[in-house]
Amino acid sequence: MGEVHTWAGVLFGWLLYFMFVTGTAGYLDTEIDRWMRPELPVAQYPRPRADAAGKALDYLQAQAPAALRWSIQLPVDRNEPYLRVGWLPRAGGAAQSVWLDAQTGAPIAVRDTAGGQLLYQMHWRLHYLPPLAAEWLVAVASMALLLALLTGIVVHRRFFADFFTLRLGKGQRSWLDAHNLAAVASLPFQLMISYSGLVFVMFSFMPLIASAWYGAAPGAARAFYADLFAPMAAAAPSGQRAASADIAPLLADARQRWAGAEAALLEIAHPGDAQARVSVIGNFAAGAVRSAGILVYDGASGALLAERPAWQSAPRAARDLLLGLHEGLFGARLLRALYVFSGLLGCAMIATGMLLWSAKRRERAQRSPAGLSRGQALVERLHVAAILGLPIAIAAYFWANRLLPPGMAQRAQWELHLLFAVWLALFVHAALTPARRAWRQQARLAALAFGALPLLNAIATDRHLVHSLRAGDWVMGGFDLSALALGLAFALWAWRLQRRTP
Amino acid sequence: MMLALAFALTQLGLAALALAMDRHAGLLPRRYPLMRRALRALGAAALAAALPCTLARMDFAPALATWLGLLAPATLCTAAALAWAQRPRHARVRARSAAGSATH
Repeated sequence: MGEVHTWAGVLFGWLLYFMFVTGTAGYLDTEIDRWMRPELPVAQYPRPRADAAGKALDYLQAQAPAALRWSIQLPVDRNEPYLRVGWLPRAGGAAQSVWLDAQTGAPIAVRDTAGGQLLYQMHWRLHYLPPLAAEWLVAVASMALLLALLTGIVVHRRFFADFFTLRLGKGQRSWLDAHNLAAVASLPFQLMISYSGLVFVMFSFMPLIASAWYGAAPGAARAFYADLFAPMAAAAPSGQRAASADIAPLLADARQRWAGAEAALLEIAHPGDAQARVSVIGNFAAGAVRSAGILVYDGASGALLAERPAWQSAPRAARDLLLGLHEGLFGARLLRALYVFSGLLGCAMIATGMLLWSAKRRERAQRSPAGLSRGQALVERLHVAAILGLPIAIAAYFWANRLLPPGMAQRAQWELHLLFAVWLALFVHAALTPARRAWRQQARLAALAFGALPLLNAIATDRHLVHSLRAGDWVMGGFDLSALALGLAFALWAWRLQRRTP
Repeated sequence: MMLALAFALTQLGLAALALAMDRHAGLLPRRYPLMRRALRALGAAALAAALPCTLARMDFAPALATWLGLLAPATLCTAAALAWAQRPRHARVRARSAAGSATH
């Protein structure tokens, strides 16, 4: 048991830490998105659906009348605070996306940024890796986490006797207490997040479940997914133009069918064609169960063609509940804060676990003549860059967002490149520096990188902290304040390290 | 308001459960018979009472998640408070034993 716990932690520690840090940031993805697009105004939601949808349709009609598909994200809640339209050009090429002012319908020019979304998606897509490899790696790591949690409960069997115990300043003992405490305090969250994380990747991780019913022949997987996520009332375009049905009655009809629940997303296939299809999709983040009704209307006549209720079956609802709990999109402010807090405890649990491993090796080495092996010494040094370097790299990502020239090609990609370049540089720095000095230096750098973000924001945009607080822009101001708080926390860490070493 | 009450009850419950443990019982001014049981019952009751408080403000699933989520900061606060409460006592004991060995 002890061996399994240690191996799961040692082998997957860095990856799990990366997943936890970026995943925790993901609970604030919309807020980070907003900070990284300072051109957007303060969000106002919910807006009257029909009004916002009408403005979006006018824009799409003018800008992309010949597109294959349109999509309209309505400003509904914290998760989707802005009116956004997208379209897929008929001529081929990438999907386009534009933010609209929900009041006037005018487009808002925003900088090209990877935003909070890509930071959040990194916790399962990783980066620079083909999707399938990333998914498998993440699935195996999640499995290792679940295993480590379960074996951890058994291994640290003094767990309950030591509940609430934190002995500070006692070396290895203190790391163990901190490791246990971080895990125990957030155990329900940790078990939920690792198990539900596995549910996300279940069809890749356990493809044989589907094969039992659909066979293993090529194309069987596609048949399985087609049954699971069936296309609704799909039609080929007729090639004949036809006037579009009014959107307001469709939205009213959807609201009535869903007992007052409102639409969040509209998708229009073959707009302007006689065979156009309008899908009215409810809000998947309205409740803990991640599901919503979908209604498909004939785009020309406005007749209802197909319907998928939010509730389909109990097993499906159980899956949707686990996914919903994992994402926590339904959480209002307090619950969101608790999600972030639990996520941070998860980061602390993994970081202290890795440090505990190193502290044990070092203590053992001091007693033996051989000393610390080269591998162990290197791991001890690299832990610095893994644990402190990652937050610094994320801060660098925010710096890149403000400093890269606005019109630059591939700008969003370069933000991400910079994140990983900085992280790599910090690994090199840690490998070449004695561990104690590396901890001190990187903690100082982290304090500076986060603490100076509000200053950078004040210089690079006109939405500085005082402006945000005066204007009641809590998302923008909250980000600056959080960066300050993080900077202070890292400064405190650096100060403690400084005091401990002569 | 109800959510603040939920947090207070969670905090109270965990503190009572902690004081019912041998390791931390030394912090109590006196020991009475049945004290440990009473503290355990109080702790369990306070934790249970926090759930209806969250339920008063939200649907079942978010309420349950919030109830479990509140355990995290409350556990940390309890552990920090206990560490703080027990540190000076240790220092005193150490000082006393050092003084004792000096006189011998």
